[in-house]
Amino acid sequence: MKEGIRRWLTEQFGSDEALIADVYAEYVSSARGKMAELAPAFAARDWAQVDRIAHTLKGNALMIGDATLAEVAVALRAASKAADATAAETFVARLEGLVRELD
Amino acid sequence: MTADEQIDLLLLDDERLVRLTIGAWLKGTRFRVTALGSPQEAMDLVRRRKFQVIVTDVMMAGVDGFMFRDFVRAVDKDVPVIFLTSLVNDSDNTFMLKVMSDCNSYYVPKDAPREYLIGKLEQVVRAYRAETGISRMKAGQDRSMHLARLVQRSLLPGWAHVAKRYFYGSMWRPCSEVSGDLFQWMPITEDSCLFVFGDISGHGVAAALAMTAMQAYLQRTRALTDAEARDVRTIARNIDRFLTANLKDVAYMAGTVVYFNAAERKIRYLNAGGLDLRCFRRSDGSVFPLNPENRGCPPFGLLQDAVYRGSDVVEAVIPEDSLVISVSDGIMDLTSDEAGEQRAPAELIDEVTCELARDRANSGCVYPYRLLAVLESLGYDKPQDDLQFVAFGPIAARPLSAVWEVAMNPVAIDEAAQKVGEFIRARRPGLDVLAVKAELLVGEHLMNVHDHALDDYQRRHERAILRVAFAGDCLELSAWDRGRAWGGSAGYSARPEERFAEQNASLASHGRGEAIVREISARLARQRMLDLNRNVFYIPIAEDKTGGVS
Repeated sequence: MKEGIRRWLTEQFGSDEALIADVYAEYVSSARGKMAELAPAFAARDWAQVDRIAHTLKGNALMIGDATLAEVAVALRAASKAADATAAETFVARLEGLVRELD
Repeated sequence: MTADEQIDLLLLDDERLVRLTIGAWLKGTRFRVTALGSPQEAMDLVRRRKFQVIVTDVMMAGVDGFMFRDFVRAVDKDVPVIFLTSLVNDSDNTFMLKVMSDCNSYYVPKDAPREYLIGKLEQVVRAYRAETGISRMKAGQDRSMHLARLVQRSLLPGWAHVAKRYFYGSMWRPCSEVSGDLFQWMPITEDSCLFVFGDISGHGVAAALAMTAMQAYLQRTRALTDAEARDVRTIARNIDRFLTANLKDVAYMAGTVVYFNAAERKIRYLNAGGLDLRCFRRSDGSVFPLNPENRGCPPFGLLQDAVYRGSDVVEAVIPEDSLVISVSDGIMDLTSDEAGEQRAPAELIDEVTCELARDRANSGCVYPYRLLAVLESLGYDKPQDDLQFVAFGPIAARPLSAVWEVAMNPVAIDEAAQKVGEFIRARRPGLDVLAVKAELLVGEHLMNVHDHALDDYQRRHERAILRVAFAGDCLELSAWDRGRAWGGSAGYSARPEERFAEQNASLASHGRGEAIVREISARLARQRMLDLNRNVFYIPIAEDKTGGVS
């Protein structure tokens, strides 16, 4: 778990490690599920779907204190609204990396 | 409600992470969370159960947060809705506009910490409860005001009266629920009566209470002899003393004490600061000057130990066919705009009052309603003050017409129908068939009003005014009542089979009388002026088979 996320979760849930672990596990599971939806949506250049998935990733990241992932999701939203495939590809790859880094 | 009481919160978000996080945040607080992931489930639940706050995501598959809010508003227009969202950081401000389009909607960013969410929830619930409390208090006040209006109404005399030789008609219309305007009528002899018109100072409940006290006092002093009633100065002094003794520094009353004797056509009055009475000749609408010397005195209760001199009293003998009108100063505050700045010009009011005075097709009793109805039709329909209009006068002998007052109960209605028949037979001997038709029509119509247009209170207290007149080749029957607005069908078909079905349909909604009335009258005119219904029936005077006319 990244230090920033741990700090945020501790601020929100105190010393309840079990709860912190639960919440973090849910975040990771959700992020991986969203990435699995993102790849085919991007491949199909379904920008509306890409935008929706990016929005959810952003929201979840904000809730968990994962500012970095949230920023990339915002950027992907902008690219999908502009139908900019080149930029979107970059941000999708970046998200894949960030999600892989989650435990 | 105390600060410790549990608050039912509905959380809707299709992301389990959000439900898990917020559920954990609110555990141990007074917020009792019901968390759902499906908008459809949430909508089903909102139909069945009341929540005190709703937290919802915005972007969900199928039904988004705003659509969900629309659904909630159809069920509960006040429950606060908090949007939990990350959209607030987006450059497009559509989200903010949508949130703010509803006055009980808020938002919380998804990156807001736990304390922020809880603080916002507490703030929102406090505001909701304050608003609900205010709504309940207002509902209680509205009920109290409604009761106050009923009390005031119960102290007023009937809206119209037709005695043997005189009549009056009145309209009492509060600006809000209650009024500071006063109207009292006291019959003295068969031919004479006393009127007291008043406008209590101030507005609202205070003025209304003072009016009610004054009205109750006047009712206790009803048993006057004719000589006592003529002594308007003593009556004025008594009114003044009541006000100074009981409502000193609280209220005074601009008003008029009027003694009227229809047999003598004499009017004696003392005007204490109100708008002066006006008298019109009904023949041409011209003004008969009652008070050329501008006599009068200060309002009642304004001065301690007020003195009423003989020179303050107006005395006049009015023309036979005349109409005397008293209006409260609220007539000067009839406006055409919401801001209350565009007042009806005094010249316009004068012109309308003159024109209406000479319209003999309408009973003088309904003059107050006609006056206000005309002014409203000219656009002056936003009163800024209480309104009270009273019209009275001698009943001019007219061979071809008559007016009666009818209490709205079956016995009185039957008697009224008989009077109409007797009038016709007396004026036109041999018109028995016409008399019977008229009796039947009057009976059926007024019973229809009794059955379908009045509530229980009105059946005990209301009066209708009935007028019959020979008008060319028709008998014209006019009836005025203050029942609810109702009308019949426009007319019946000429084809018998359709006519029968229409009559049956009319029977269901308007009673048997409607069908009978339409069969008898060749023409029917209906009008509603404010809360006064006017029905005019025309029965042809035609030759019958026996060679007479009917």
